[in-house]
Amino acid sequence: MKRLRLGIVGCGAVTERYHLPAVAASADVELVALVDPVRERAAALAQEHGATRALASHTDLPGVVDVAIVAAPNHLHAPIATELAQAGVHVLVEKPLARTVAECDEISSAARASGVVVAVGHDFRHFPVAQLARGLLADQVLGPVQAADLQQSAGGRWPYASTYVFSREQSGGGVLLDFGVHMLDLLSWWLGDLSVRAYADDTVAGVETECELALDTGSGAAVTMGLTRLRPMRDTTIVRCERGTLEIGIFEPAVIRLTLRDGSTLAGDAHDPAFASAPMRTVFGRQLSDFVRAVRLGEEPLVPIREGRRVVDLVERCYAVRTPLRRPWDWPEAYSGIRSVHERT
Amino acid sequence: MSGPELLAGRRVLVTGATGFVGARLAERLVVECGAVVRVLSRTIGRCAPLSRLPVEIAIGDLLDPASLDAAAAGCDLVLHCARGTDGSERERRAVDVDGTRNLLVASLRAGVSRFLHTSTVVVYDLPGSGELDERARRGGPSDPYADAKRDAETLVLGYAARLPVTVVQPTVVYGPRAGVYGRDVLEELRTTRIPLVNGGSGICNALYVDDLVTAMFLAATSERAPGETFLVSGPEHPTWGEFFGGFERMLGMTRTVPMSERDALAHWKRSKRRSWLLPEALRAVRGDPDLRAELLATREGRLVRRVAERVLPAGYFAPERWIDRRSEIAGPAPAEPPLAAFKPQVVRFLASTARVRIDKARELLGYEPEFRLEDGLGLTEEWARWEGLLAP
Repeated sequence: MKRLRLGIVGCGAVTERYHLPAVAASADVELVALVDPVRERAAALAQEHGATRALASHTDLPGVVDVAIVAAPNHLHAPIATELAQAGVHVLVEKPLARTVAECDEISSAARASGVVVAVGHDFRHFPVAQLARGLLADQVLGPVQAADLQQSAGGRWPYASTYVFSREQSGGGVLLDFGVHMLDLLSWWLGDLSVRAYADDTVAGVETECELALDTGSGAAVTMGLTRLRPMRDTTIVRCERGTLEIGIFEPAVIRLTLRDGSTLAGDAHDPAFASAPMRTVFGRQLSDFVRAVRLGEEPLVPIREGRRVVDLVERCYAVRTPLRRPWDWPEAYSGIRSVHERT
Repeated sequence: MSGPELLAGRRVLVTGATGFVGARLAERLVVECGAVVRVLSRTIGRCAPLSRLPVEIAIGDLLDPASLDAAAAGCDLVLHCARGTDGSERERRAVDVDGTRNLLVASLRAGVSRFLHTSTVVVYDLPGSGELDERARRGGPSDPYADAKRDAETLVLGYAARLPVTVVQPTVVYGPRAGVYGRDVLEELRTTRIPLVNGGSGICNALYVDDLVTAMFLAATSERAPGETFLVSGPEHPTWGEFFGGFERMLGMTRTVPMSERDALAHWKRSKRRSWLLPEALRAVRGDPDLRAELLATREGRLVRRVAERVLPAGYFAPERWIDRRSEIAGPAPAEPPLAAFKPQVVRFLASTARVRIDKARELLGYEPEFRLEDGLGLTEEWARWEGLLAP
């Protein structure tokens, strides 16, 4: 079968580390163009990976490519994906699909009008442990879910190539929108649609670096969630079901631990040799294959546009009910509860 | 008007803002003072913790003068908190001294109205007892960190005629996110026992980070500060026994071992005595079957074994000769972790009962520290628990 001509918009860290190796290993696509406003960056990566064109704008892609990966800063997802979809280019958009629901809807209408496939880059769904958990939880193997708690640290060693991620204007949010959407997507995939009960984060006119969420599943089970860029966390999700409890670590640790009501436990990793030998290449490779399959067969990708929109909607609802998250040593709250020396003496 | 009010709307460049003091300084400059803050950082990732604030990130390096020109451009004040933390002694010194020089040059070019340099009390020759103020002799035992900070301070004060420079000399700075007097103390107490020099009777001139930041606000804005140096310490003079005791209480364990200054120095000397590599290695290999198997499986290991089989008596490699001696050698699990040894200059620092005086900062700046050790350690404990450094 003829290879699909592929372009990548945005040459930041995720493109260099994950998308390009996945593309190189794929027999389904041929890399023809790399796009970045910093032309030298696009040119350097194009040369290294054998792309024939290095372009400064995505507007030069239609006609040149059949499919595109949009890995630009968040505020550009909607305009770029919309324009490419209108021009008949199928797109895989990095997470989050966009900054707001309104932006997601722009992409959605363009895709509907032109009939192209839009897939969303929630790559965590391709982690073996995540798929096993989906099998166990969506089918209620352990009975109905009673409660869940997720505590996850984020991106401590991510090699950011630009500061956009720390600008509210450009990123649209902090650890919740940038990273938390991965976890919200998994929880929604495992447990069904969620609703927001309460939300708190630590931002002071910047983007949140730590947040706490209280959510509910459709059947009313309480889901709590803590995300942070500041400190180590448990980095697992604990799901208590009627007949037992599952603890799931997607990566570092990649583990699934089952505890039955009588206390007996079983722990291990989801067996997957390809993943074991090259985790991220496998995950991004499978994401790309799924996208190609959807384009070729005209089917839905694993993460369709409405599910990318679903988590952006949750994030928007969180921000709408935001309360400040404060620590005892914050300023000037640090003084509350402490009388100064002068007051005492 | 006090320091914070005078900083409202001012454009401030903070170096070292991804570190302990600098991060707190940047945070309060934004939240409390309403200053417009730019931070200098070598990498974007390090700025993640600051991203909850509206700070501008200037990617640069103290050893790259061009990046400093860009970072200082348009700034009204430069608050210099960075110090060398990575690499060799030489590289750290380069950051401390050459980096400070580069930043002074950039600040001069940018026409800043104040350059605040964060020095340290260790630039002084700390007496064994009595009191210490800014008139004390600079110098003392040679130590790479102290030497670099002394040289940097001299550089800064040398610019006084051309640039409004001010130097603060903090004492023992602790608080949430502290490295040396926070994370490191907890880690040491968790994994080792440490000498409590002279039973902990030495004076710890403890300074809670927010008191230091308050002093820096005052020093950066006071009209009386240019050309001056200020020692900055806390409201009390607790002992090292009280300081370490606070951390031991957080951990719920006693890990300090009272000993005299002389014994602490002797312990250091003993700990420096090195044994020979070969006997140590052989002992380790004989005692650990896993390690032995691993080593014997290497190319060199196989070669050694082939040679040895020819030379040594038959049966030497029989398994019964190599019984697991781990238990024999190590004995039962040690009841107590090893006793850490402090360098002589650290022992002397911990033994000193000298009290740091802050009269100059009080008088010229109106500085008044507020956090008693008990209060500061209370907040430090809450942070340490949150950070996962203490059991939940």
